[in-house]
Amino acid sequence: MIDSLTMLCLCLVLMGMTPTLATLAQFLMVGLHGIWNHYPECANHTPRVAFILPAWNEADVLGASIDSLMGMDYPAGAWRLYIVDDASTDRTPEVMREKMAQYPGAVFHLRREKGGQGKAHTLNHGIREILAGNWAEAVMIMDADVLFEPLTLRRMARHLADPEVGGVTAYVKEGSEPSSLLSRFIAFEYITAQAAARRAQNVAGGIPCMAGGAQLHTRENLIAIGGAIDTSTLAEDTYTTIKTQICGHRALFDPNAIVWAEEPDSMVALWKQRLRWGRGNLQITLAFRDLWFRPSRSPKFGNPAFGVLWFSIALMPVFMILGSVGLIGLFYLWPAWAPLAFSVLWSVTFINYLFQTLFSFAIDPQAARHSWFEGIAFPGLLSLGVMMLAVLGLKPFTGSGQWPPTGEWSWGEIGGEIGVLVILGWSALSTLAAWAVYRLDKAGAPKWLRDFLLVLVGYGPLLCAISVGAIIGQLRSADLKWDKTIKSGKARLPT
Amino acid sequence: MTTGVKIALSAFDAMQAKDKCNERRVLWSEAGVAAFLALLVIGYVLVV
Repeated sequence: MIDSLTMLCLCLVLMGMTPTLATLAQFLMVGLHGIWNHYPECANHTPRVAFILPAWNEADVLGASIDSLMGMDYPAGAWRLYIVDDASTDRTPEVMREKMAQYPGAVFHLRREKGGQGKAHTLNHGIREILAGNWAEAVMIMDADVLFEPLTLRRMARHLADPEVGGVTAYVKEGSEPSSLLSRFIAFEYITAQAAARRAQNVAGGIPCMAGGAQLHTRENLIAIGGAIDTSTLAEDTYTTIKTQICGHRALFDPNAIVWAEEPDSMVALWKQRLRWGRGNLQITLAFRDLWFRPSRSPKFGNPAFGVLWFSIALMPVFMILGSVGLIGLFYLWPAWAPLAFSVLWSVTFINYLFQTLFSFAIDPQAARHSWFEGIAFPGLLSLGVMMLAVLGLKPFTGSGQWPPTGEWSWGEIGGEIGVLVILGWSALSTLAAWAVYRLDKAGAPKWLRDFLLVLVGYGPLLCAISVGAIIGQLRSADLKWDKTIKSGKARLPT
Repeated sequence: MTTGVKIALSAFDAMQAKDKCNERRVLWSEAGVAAFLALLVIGYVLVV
């Protein structure tokens, strides 16, 4: 007879599977983008586009970004570049002077004398200037380090021929040269999080985030969302995207419109960037709390399936901890079922991992050629080992060959039981282990050691550890500081 | 809303065709990966 505590543990295990099942369901929709996409509604449409490029001490990357934009295949005179200089203290104004002389009439310098308020404030300075005139028919919001491929703007602008479309985003790819283990992990992550997930979101009819590195808005849409970017959260791109769709316009992702960006090369920089994103997403969750699971208020964002996906990603470590607690609870309360629950949870995780990894390689073979190892090692070699235990039914930690251990206690069996508990709790413990690797990196551990441990523990658990940091920071109402990620100009357009 | 300057229609059509083709490639890739995994799971169930 199952008592209520055992039932609770089973429910916790099921909850632990929620993120896996939700992302698997999303991945299953990706291919449908081959049937249901927006290309039939596209036309050879080239509106006048004002690029807004917020810059604070971007002297190292600004020149290359401007040069890459000048290489765009787009009608001359149909686009302008507005650099909003957020009171930079480096050579940014000099670089600007050089570029304005080099490209007269195409590059404009808007300088804020008092800066440091964050990207959204900087963008708003530019948006106000642009909307005050009537030249711009569309506005491209981008980052200073982002490099555009020659046809990217055309690919994005073609969707604006459909008057229902308010915004379009591109596929932001990691383009650091030379690459590092961390940058290749990010390159693979972007296949799954952008090239795959956003195709599925296009199919589902609503995307939660147009990447802040390349967001093309119609003028009408910018005015409809209030003529400014929201400054109350750290995820201004997500806020703008959701607002666009609430205001009745469509937001789209074009997977074939590609831009290249430089992503963090150290775990400390990655932690800072993703903590900002994570906290921003939690703020968005609160800001739009009236929508979740209420289809009557918003057919897109109130859809229960969307809500499950949103929360299972935003609160992924919570689900993983609950799953581990459920397994360990079963181990003590209903030992006969613990191996089965463990096997089901991790086997489903393994199938999901295989499907997402192999399919991601197929979605972007170019990125996969550079980051195939990072794709395989994404969950960490230790987690892969746990998956193997589940799939192959191995029981290596019990001297008796039984699981859980039976008979007299001995040091070996106590060690065995601890080993079993570590394995059962690994989905939660891997997050802790990833945090320890981050702390080691922060303490100045050698790069080879950091890389070795990261491969062992996994990049996925590292993202979960950052999510935990974001949740804790949000609960403690820690300072909401817009902390810019420093870029060094390592991104390159592929030749 | 559209400015007067356009690229040749054929170039635009070529871009559209290339992108649609890529989306179909992704669709068939998914079908292939899913079929491969389904066979793997069936084989696993039969053996174990």
